[in-house]
Amino acid sequence: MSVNNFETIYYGLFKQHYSALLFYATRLVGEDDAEDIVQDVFVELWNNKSKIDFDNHIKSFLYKSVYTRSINFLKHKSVVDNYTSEEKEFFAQKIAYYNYENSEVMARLENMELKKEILSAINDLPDQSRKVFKMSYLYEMKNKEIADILGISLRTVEAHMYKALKILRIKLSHLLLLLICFFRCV
Amino acid sequence: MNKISDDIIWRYLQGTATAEDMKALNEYISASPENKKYLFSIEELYHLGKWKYDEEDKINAAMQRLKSVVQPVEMFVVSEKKEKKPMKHLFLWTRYAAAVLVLVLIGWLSFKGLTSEDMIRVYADNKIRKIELADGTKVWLNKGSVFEYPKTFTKDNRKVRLDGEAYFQVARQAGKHKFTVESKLMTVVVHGTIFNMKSYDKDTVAETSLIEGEVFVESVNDDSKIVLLPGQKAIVEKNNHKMVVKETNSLMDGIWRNNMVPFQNATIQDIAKVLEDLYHVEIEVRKDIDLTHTYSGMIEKKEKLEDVMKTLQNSIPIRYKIESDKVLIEPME
Repeated sequence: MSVNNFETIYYGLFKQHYSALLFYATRLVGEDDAEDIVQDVFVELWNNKSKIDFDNHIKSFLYKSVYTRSINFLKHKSVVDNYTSEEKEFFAQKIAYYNYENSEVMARLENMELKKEILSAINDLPDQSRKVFKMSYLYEMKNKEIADILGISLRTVEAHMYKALKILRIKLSHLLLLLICFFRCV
Repeated sequence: MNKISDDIIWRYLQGTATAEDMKALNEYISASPENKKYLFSIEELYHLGKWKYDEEDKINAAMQRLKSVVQPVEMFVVSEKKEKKPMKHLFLWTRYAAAVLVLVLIGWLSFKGLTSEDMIRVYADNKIRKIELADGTKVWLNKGSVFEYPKTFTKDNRKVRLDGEAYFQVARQAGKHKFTVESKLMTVVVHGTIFNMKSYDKDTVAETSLIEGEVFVESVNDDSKIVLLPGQKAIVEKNNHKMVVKETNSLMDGIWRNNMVPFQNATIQDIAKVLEDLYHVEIEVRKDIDLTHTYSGMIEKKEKLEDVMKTLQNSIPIRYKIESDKVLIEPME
């Protein structure tokens, strides 16, 4: 494999899988540390380019690496952050659930199509509730900040959030069923 | 256990679950595989709705970051030789690749300054860098900036140097200890505050705009001094060294840091004005557009204006048309 050819394949792989791999890592270790884990996986791939076959298995190699690194990271974090036994148990269950060999779960993680449906459900919310919900959910603003910016009371913000969640819950429940049944029901 | 309350799930999703919640969650997901699937599916949906990393500019940014680690082609490094000129020595990556790689992995490049032994010099070459100093002060360095800070801060000396643009969140310290930023044209003295300073050595203008708190600005080559208030900007010009103070939307000056553009009670006309400044295009707002309605929130600055317009169109009842020399905003029919 020529150098240029390798680079094309390498960055092509990155473009193709970055979002899904990052989403996967985020499920395991959370937002703050997922980016580093995915980057490290690609650095490892670069450093071992002569030893790794860039064939059909490369995708499972990437997911496996993210998984292994995430587990190691969580082990370390559980010590540093002094996890309670409940937290440890929860993460153990989560790790087992998101095992890269669980093809049903993995197939779902790669499917980003549902995002559009979620966003359109949000956009269909009544005017003021939509505004409040977007500020809270998409821009991660605190209820207090939203109240200040919109010039409404904290109570009103909470009421709008409650209303939005209630509507979304009904609208999205079919999506959730879709997720849960993804394989079993077809 | 077959039910779990929405409240617990909501707290879990927001990262505020209590110890009791965790116990309930454990019991719930241990009860059946379906429960496990239910909880984790909800979590996936929750994060998927606000997932941004499938957007092209995010992927490209991440790829640039990766590239700078695996292929650090060329870098500016400080010459270790005795020449007086401290900068601008270009080395090919081959010789320094190993050293550079390690440093990049640590997070940013820092090389010992030549002029003073105890200063650490940081370069932000093609990426915005965030630095946290020992006193808790946070500094975001814009591309092409050089920043120097002492290895250790003494009680009365928190003095740093900037050649470039930086956004400072200076930590307040007990006993009114000053934090000083020096640059070629201006010096800024603060206690605890947030401000944006743009002073590249090569530029003929230096400016500082204050976002929060209070800063004291001094022109380097003349005695003009001024105390800035939030929403004001101090500008020093090289040719006359005179300092001018202007009213400014100081939040706008810090946008490069995270690409988020905040706006409050803004009409469509106000928003158009901001976008004109950001993208250097003419935006015409059609006369029949409703200017009594105002909007508050954040816009994420994207690579292309069109992507921002698309997002805006989803939240505000407008349509846009891109014409050869301008962008037209019309009310939605």
